[in-house]
Amino acid sequence: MSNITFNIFRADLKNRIRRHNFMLSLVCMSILTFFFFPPLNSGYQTLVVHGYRGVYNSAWMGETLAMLNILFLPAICFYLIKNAVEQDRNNRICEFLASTSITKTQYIIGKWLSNLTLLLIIAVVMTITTIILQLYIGEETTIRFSDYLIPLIVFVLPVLSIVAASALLFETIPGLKGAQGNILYFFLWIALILNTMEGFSGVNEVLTQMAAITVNLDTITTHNTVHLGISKIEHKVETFLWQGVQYNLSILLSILTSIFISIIFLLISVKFFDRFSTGFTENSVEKNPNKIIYINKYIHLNYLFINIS
Amino acid sequence: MLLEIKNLSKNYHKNKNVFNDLNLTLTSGVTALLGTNGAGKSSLMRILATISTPSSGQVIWNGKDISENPNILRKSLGYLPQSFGLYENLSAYEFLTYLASLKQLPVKYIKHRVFELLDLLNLSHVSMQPLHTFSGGMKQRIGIAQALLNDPQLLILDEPSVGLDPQERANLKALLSEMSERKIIIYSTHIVSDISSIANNIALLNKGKLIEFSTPEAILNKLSFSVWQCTVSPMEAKELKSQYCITQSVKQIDGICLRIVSLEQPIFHSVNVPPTIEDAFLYYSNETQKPLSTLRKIA
Repeated sequence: MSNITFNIFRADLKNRIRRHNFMLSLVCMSILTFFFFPPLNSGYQTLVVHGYRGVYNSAWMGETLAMLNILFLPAICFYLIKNAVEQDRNNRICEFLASTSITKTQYIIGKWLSNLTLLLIIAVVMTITTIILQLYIGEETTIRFSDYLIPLIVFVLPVLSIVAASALLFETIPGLKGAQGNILYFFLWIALILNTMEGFSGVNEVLTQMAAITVNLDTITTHNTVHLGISKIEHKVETFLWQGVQYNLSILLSILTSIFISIIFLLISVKFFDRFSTGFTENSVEKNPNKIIYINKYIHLNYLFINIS
Repeated sequence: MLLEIKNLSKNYHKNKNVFNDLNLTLTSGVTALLGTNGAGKSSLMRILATISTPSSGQVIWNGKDISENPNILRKSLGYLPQSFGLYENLSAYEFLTYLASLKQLPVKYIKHRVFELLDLLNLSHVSMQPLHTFSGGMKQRIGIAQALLNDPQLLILDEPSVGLDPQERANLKALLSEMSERKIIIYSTHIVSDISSIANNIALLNKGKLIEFSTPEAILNKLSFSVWQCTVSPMEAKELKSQYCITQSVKQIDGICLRIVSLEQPIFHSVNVPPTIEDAFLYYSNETQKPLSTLRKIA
């Protein structure tokens, strides 16, 4: 990374994390995390596999947090970070930047790193909140930091990388900069990202491994679905002990796919970025939330506020 | 150091020329760019700062056309735009360090240079305070400091004295005078008093046309024996204003004191007074007047 890229990243990050609204965002996301881990009798659950949810140990909570972050952070955080280029344009710092010899690539990568770091800070704060929750709930009080850290790096970080690059894509392509871009992204998140996220983010593989364990449990369950998201529960949910994900080639491929998508988005952003100059160059869970998506013959995913029956 | 502007034109719309066929050759020293609002000063400066491109013509820096490689100029450029923003949550030191790195100053030199400029612009006592706590004048001085970071050969200042108090204006003038021997400084303003004492050359722009480009002495010389002063009644003042170019009108106890630009004595008790740059600026900005050089020939 060039010194210029690093300094663009550092200055932008400092300026944004020192804002009051970023601190407020961290508090809100921390509060949201509390709702990700309800007690058994709370009437809703966030991850249920064949009628089971894992004992709240580090492995289960780390993995659950990672998957819920993959679902929700792209929607919530996109709007939080989609102003990196626009703020430079609106407050006219762009006049200084355009008169230096920085390249479009240096600028876009610096902003992407800043976006990514902001999102990572949010994810880390949510992880810390989850660790505190694990101790507070007390189903299993042994903290294994690696069970939190590895899902964050393997599953969440690649998706955040795509979100960070998407924000720049929507800021640099003419026609996507304003409200129409925000609306389009929201529908893309629902129609495309949510549908395909589990494909390239490794969620599918994790749920498959969870399902494989629960089908072998002694208790016979009639609930042959996997529910990820906030779902109302009208029946008793059993618990099982989850020891963590077996990392394999499928997960590695999902990471590589995410990195590839991020790079493509960044390249398009560089191509469309106008460098604040006028002329000079340098060289669906669909709309129907009840739709069931078939992952394989064992697993079905329902999303968002679905009654499990 | 040589900056050549050749046949430069800028139009944003087909029929709206910001300026047309502009030719200037600038060497070291302060060149004041004078013109009314909308004269095309900022558009010209944005082109010279490589932010905007001309519709036609060339800007040549030390013999090289900047449209082919703007980075040739950018490395030697310091630019203060007319309006600009800052990263309000950074300190003055952090912000200047950031811009110094973008200007590719050597890392070892950055800290020294930033503190040197903060000291020069009387901001060292607030160097670690966030910029959102700064007054307008302090922010303007941060803008000036960033333009000087790379000790530029070409310094473009668009209305640099805006928001500065009289003391800071005087400091800025002294600073620019001191630097002017080794830089090309383009100083755009419509406040004539800012540049009258420091400009080596004055370029007068009016409605996108260069109407004068000479030394202050030469411009004043063209107006010699053409500026008159008199004190008249309000009725007489009204009549004179309809006939002559009035460059100053001051209400006094015994009437209204007028400064009038005219080859002939406008009123019998008016007295000839030495011209000022402000007289020239206002005269040339007045589109109803013929160019004074023409009148001088007639005279």
